Amino acid sequence: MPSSLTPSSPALGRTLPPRTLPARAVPRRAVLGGGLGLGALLTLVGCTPTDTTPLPAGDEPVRGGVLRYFEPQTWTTLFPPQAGFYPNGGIVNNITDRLLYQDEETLELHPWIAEELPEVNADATEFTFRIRTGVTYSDGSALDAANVAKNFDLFGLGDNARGLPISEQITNYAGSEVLDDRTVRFRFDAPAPGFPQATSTMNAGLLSNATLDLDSEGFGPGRSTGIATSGPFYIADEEVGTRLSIRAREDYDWAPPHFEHQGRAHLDGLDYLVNAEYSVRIGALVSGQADGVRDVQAPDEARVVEKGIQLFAQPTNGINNCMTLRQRDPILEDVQVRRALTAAIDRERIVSKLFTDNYPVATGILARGAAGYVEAPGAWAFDPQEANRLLDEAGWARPADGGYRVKDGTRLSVRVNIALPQPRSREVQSLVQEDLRRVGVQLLINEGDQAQQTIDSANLDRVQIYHSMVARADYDVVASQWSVNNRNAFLNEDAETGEWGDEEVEEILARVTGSARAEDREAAVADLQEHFIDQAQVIPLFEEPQVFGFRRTVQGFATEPVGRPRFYDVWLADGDTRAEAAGETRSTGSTRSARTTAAEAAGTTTRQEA
Amino acid sequence: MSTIDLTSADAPVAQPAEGRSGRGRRGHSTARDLLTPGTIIAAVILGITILWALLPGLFTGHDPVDGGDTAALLAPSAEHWFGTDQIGRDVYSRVVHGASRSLLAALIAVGVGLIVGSAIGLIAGSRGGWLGEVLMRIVDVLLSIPALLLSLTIVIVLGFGIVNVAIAVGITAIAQFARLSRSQAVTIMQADYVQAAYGSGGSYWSVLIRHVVPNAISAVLALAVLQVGSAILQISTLGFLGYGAPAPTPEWGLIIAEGRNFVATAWWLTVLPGLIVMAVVVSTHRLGTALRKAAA
Repeated sequence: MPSSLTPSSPALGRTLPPRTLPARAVPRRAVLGGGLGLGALLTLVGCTPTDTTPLPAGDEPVRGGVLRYFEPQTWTTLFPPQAGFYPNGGIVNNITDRLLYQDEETLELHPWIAEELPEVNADATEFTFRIRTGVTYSDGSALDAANVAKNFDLFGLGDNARGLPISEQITNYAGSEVLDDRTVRFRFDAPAPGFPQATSTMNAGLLSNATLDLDSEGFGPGRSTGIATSGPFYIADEEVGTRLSIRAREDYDWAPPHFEHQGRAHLDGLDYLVNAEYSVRIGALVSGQADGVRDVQAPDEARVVEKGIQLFAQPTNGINNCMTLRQRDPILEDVQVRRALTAAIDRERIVSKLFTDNYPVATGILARGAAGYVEAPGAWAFDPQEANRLLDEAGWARPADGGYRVKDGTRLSVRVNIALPQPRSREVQSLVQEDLRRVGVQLLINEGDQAQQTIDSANLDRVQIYHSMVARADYDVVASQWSVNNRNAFLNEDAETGEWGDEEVEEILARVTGSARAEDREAAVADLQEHFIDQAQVIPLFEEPQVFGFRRTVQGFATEPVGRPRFYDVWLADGDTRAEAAGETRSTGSTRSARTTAAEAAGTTTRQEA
Repeated sequence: MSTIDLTSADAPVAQPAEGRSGRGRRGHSTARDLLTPGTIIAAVILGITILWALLPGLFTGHDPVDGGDTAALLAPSAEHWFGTDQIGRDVYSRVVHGASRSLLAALIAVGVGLIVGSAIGLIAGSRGGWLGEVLMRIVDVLLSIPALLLSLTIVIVLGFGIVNVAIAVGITAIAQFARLSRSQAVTIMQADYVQAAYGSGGSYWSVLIRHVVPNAISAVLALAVLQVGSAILQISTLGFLGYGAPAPTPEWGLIIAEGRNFVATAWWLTVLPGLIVMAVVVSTHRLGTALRKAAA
């Protein structure tokens, strides 16, 4: 941009004595910097390509290729019970097998590592599984009944000494019994009708005996190659905080029997690359540096599709994205205030401003595809006049200048966390903040990173409104979110005094998790929703999908029931050409990795022969 | 902020004390220094920004913190000059309303730097001896820590918020002011009229107040104007990093930070407020440089 420099330079040169040269250099540098910045920006705007290359013909899956998949956050642990965090689940779902397989659309259970659905006794306290033969872990050890028992003993009981928590999906676990090589029975202290479904989730991914002896650090970043699983992929390589590479197991032959695709995965492997800056991830996808990304944000959907990228919006079939009002807080204790806040929030406006059709406004506390969904029309209707009336009635007077309401010298002010894993949480809360300000309520937004949000959310003095969501395709999901034994979104019980905010919630939740019959559990979930509406304790905002973007060459992508990616069926239309390219790079590039791969391949062959 | 080099703070020392006689000869060139097209444009930009800060209602009719039902991420138009942001608020209105906070914070920052820094510098320069040495070594330590790192540390200790950010930025500017005012004080203390003032019975403090401060002040004030620019930039940087004003307060750094996720789809959210910040910073810098030359 030399032209922008010319007008100022002669003028300066004429008027200033030469001794001031160092000082004069400063504005010129600023102008130059600005020019460079502007130039860079124009260049960036100019080079956003559209993917129009013709795809190779044919619907037959092509074998080969390594898929580059960009994640917004780095994974924290691969211990299956803690796989709920999106980045963890995206990995665990692809490296582990489960006893049962849950269909992502019908939510029906199918056999997988278990040969058939389990035998269940009348009061749902005993479950007997028959295990299929010939399944091995990536470390060569066999998957048998004793190993399955060992898995669930750890998931169901946890191990505090090793820092491994109990799975939030397995409650009242009493123990296991190995009946023979292929048969295992699990016993529970109380009815556990959700257990078969729990065995199908990534939180019950099966691990080898050696892996089950690891402690929490062994499942953490830096040690992942030591984790042996039986899934279609195994962990081949890791760079902490940057990259995790999984590769296909050549001898994999135990996909769920009802699948058309059996045997090895189509892909040679997958690289999970962490890139925290959103604009960079989208740029990488559009420019072809990435084959796929998780978390395409709503405002970009149209543009990404325009650029020839495929979008997959997968419903997560759990609790809707919602705000939990913690009634142990002195301000929110008053049901009138809670009702007023509920009426003051314009959910339609939030969704229409921030999201697309993939994010429907919530019609119940659960998503439409979730087990136990009951429609609650008009339950969270927008009515600011009603909100004002309720607050006036509750004694929160609005000052004459229209500022925030006050009662006995206290300002009507509450604080909400930012749910960083959830889509556009900060913007959602900014709009809620606007809505509440209009009725004289101050909403503070709790700033900080994920660690700070977690700490503050567990502290009633810091966060009084908890914004979050949980996904699991079972009735038990409500307990995962609101029970004091799990995520405890209400902080319902005072740890010191033992006082309850609302004990009735916990009683209803106990009926959901502890009733033997499905009808009773469904009824309990409906009761819970009614109680929430009556007491204005939870404000569901919208149904939360996981939105993935993939380049057009990526075929066969699917997710499990709560929207975690499944890469077993994925293939690349240009996979064969890409495999050749990768082969060349490998032979000329790192010899160490080439040798490792060869050794692994040899190891696999030996195992196959054995 | 590292792009703006203020190490020339000691430059006046290089000029031999020409005595008061130089003043008349240079009066003419002073006026010319101040009336270049560059400084006039800079003054106009700064003037408009100050008006934004004082009377934001004159420049925009939109609410900076409530977008109503306006769609989000609208492109710039006659109705919304800078478009609308990620939740449908008018960006131009937010920039205009943000001016008062950003400018006020910059003034507080410069005020802290000016008062504390000049006090240290004047005492060190006029007293000399071990006191001067100790004070200037402290200043050297301050100078050795990168400004952003220092201000981040201070904000974390003081707590988030725009005033705390301003104080933190001010502390990072202390060293510049201290060095400049010390060099001024050292020069002035050697002047004949100071010796004469002592000779006629003046005490240390009376000489400092009557002679040193008035003679050192013009150079220090010129630096202060220069510092306003870099203070705005530093405050915006801290705001961008989330240490400044809490949402939904319009603050320049925060506006840019909130828009950065949409660079690809809605470039105006970051580029237009960014250009405003740049224009204001460059303008104050231009004016500061001109004033400095006039004062030297």
